[in-house]
Amino acid sequence: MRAALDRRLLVVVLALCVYGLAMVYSAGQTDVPSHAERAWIRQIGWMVIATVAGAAAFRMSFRLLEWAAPYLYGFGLCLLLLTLAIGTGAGTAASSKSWLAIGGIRIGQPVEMAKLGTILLLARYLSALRQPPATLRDLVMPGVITGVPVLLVMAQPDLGSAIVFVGILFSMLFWVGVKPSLLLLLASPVISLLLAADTRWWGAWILLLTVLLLIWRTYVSEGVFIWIVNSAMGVLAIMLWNRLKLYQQQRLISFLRPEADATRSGYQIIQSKVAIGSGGWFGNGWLHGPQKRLSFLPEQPTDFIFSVVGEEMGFVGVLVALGLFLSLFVIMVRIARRATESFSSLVVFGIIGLLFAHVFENVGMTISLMPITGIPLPFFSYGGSFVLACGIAMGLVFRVASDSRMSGYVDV
Amino acid sequence: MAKSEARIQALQGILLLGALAMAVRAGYLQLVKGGHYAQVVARQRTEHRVLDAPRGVIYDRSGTALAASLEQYHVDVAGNQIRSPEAFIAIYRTDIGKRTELLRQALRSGEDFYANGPFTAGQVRRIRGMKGVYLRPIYRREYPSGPLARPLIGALSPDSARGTSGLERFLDSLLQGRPGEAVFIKDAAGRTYESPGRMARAPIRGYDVTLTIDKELQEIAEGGLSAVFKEFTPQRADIIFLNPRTGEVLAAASREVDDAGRPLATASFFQSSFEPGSTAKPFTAAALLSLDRVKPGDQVAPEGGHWKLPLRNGRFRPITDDHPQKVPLSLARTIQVSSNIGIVKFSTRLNPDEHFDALRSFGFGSPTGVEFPAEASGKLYRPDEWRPGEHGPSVAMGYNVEVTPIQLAAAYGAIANDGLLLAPTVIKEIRSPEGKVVYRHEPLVVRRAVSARVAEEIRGFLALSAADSGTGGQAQVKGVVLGKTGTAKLVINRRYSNEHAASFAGIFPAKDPQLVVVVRVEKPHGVYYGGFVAAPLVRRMLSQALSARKTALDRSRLADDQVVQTGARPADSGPPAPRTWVELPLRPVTPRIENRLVPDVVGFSSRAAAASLHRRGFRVRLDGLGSITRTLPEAGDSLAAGKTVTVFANRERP
Repeated sequence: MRAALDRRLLVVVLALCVYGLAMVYSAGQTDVPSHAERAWIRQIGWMVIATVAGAAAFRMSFRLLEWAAPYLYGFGLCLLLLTLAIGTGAGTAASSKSWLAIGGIRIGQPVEMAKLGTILLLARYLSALRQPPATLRDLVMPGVITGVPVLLVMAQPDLGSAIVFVGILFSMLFWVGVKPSLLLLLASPVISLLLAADTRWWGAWILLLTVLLLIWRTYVSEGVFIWIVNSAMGVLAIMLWNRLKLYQQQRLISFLRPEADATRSGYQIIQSKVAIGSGGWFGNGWLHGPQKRLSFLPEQPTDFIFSVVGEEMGFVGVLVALGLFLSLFVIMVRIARRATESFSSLVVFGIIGLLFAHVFENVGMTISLMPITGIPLPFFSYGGSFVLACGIAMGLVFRVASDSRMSGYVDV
Repeated sequence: MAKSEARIQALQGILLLGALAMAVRAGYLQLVKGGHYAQVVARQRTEHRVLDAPRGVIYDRSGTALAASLEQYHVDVAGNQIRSPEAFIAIYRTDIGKRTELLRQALRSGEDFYANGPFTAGQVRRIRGMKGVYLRPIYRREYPSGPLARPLIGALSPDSARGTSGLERFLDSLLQGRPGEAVFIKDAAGRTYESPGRMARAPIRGYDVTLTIDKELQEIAEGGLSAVFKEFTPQRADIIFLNPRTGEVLAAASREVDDAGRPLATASFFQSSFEPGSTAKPFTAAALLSLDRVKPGDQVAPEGGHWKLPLRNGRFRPITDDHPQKVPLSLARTIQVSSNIGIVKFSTRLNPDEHFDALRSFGFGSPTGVEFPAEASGKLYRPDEWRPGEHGPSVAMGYNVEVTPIQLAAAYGAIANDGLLLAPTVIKEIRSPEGKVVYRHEPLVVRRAVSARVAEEIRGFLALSAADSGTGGQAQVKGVVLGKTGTAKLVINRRYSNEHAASFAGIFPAKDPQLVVVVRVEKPHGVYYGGFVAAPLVRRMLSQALSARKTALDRSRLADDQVVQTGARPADSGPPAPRTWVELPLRPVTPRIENRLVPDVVGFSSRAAAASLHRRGFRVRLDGLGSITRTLPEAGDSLAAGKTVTVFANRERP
């Protein structure tokens, strides 16, 4: 018989679910008739399905999961390929192909499943290592495992999910013991890419990188490779920028200067900021956010649900939500820490990376801390496949917690 | 796995940092800039919208609408709120418009659809109140009587918000009403949600104005204009009908064409003055009679139609008559045959001051105060500007003096009304939206121009003039029209030209006059004598008026036995018997001269002050120039009409 569910985790997760459902319900209560009116009922349905799936995951042996990881990963990739072929767009990413639909009915975003598959495969690969990867060569395999789905989602294109994959990779590498300096070198091409927008910044970065390479005394070949890749990124950046879809460019620009195009690409940022800002300390009260009621907010029940939180529940409500998420992560870190074996520990940490990337990216976007990428807020956003993925993920976390308790691990 | 505590600490630090970053940012937005964003929200979601007030209706005297504001609608359809699209489209097609492709498309995709009408109330009757249908009312000025009296009524600005000319402009503040205001809640798509409870201010409709215009007489006048234009193709013609007992303008019609023959919208009956020529002769005659400068039996020599008026410097001014007379001219005969020589000879018995005062008393040279924008004041030179031998004879013949048709009508009205000059008016009544009468015209006596005896004497002259033997014989109806023709050369480029203004001023009927009619025809082609151009038109119009059903003429006065005895001089018959004049429907009118209050004109420009005082019947003596500092007597003192008010202005006359 399995041990009881981790009580603290259960409380936090239930609180998040109830809070989230209340907000989805509120998001549908508008003066403008909208299809979101009954979304909360469907959300309950999805939550039930997710609970069932989570319970199944909870029952599942981790050995079975470890064995099946490559197949699950491969299945996820297949779905992503299928999406590229026959996918449809929706929501803030209306022009991208991220949805799978059968007979016109959207059944989900396969990327959510691919994220779980990637976590499992990364956990399997990393847990099999005798010692933490110390060189770039050691990071090739994890890089490939993450890189393939990243390329596939970038092709949709879905920038937000790509960031989530990167978040998963880095959190798991960090947890497995990779040195921060190596992580920085791994991330350096991306940093170079971002800084390429301004030649002076980019020059400074290359200079700093050269110094770091010398200080950290990496292998010469690796140092040269890193340096060349970084330099190449500076050139590539311009080409990449030109290759970005117009709406992606606009999103990035409007993240920096939303007022430049207030009615179109900057509209979502401004409206979200206005709604959250007008909430003040205690908000306009549940169900009573005027911006929400009049549909000024974009994608109220899904990507911009946090704007509704800010508008109706105020700063206090925002703090409560962030506090719940923070305690969730802290609890999960502890669970990962006391896991009985490294595979399950890494799985939990991959899930932390997944959820944290989602929360930071989503909330950050509503308060214009991050550019707009259409990824959902865990436990809050209305949506099928992500709720399902979260359910399965939480099932796994509960299982790890339960296993460690069974093994007699006592948290200090 | 052995995890170093440092690594876990770092991890938790990163998580905390992330949460903190988000919390700080949210706090900045909500707590620091919250007030600002709350204002943005309030601005975004509410819309203050002006609700137009319907403009007041302009009626003719018997209550026929001449200009009215109709409520019409634009139709906005919220595509996602229509319950049954097919039924809606069917109704839309029969009631509003045949083209439904875009509507169908909008309903299918749940988008908004805007149908810009305007559509009438009948068209939107069935869709009004349906869910998803939003009507945007607008008001359009309609003219149920067509182009009738349009120069008088005037026009509105293109958005129908303000009057730009005519009575629409003069009465704009009254007709306009007060726009209301409503607060609408609007959503992201800009759709508003009507919430009657949020009406901030209900619109108040404008006042309704009843004019003194008689629709039938106006139609007759405009028909008369058409006839004149057809026969004589003049450049401009005006017709005015006035009730001499009340000063009410019963019809005012103008027509004008530019040099290319295109019609112009003018109200020249009030706004353009002309040299009246012989139609002004009776006023000089009235001055002579008032001052007793002509005794019964006084006659002057006709000079065979050519006479040289001796001037002071030994030179002469030629005066001619188109119809040379053989027998000596009495004053009556002078008027009857319209002799220039006669009237000039008689007028030498007046000094400029007397002559000026007489014409001024009849209202020449100052606006009548009729309710109309930019009324012309005509021209009457001050007596100290009169050059001997020039102005006096000219004014006697109707030159060197300019009058508007309404001034001429008012002056003839004074003759008809036993010497009392009434202020002409076009407004009979003004009603508030609730139907309360806020203004009703009462006859306003400006001053006594001449005594009743003189007025009756002049009417005798006019009877002769309009008799078959006079120049106005062509105007005669049943022998009861009094009148005087005029034919004046027009000044073009500061010289007298060969173009003429033909005019006729008449009073009808001879006993208990009910109508004053003034006709002016400028630049007629072919014949140009007033007796041939204007007089027959008057006869035709009066005949039509008599046969019209509703016109307020008292036909019982027109029995055949009341034909004026031509050639008789009723002036000796003593003061006229008291009489009442009765308008149908019955309403006794008893105009009296009363002491009246001096208006407060301090601060006015000297021009405005003079106009204001003139309108109340005072004479004005101006001391200085510029804005008025005080008056003598002071504002609020009462003074008999016709007395002089001295106004002091702040600048010395240069």
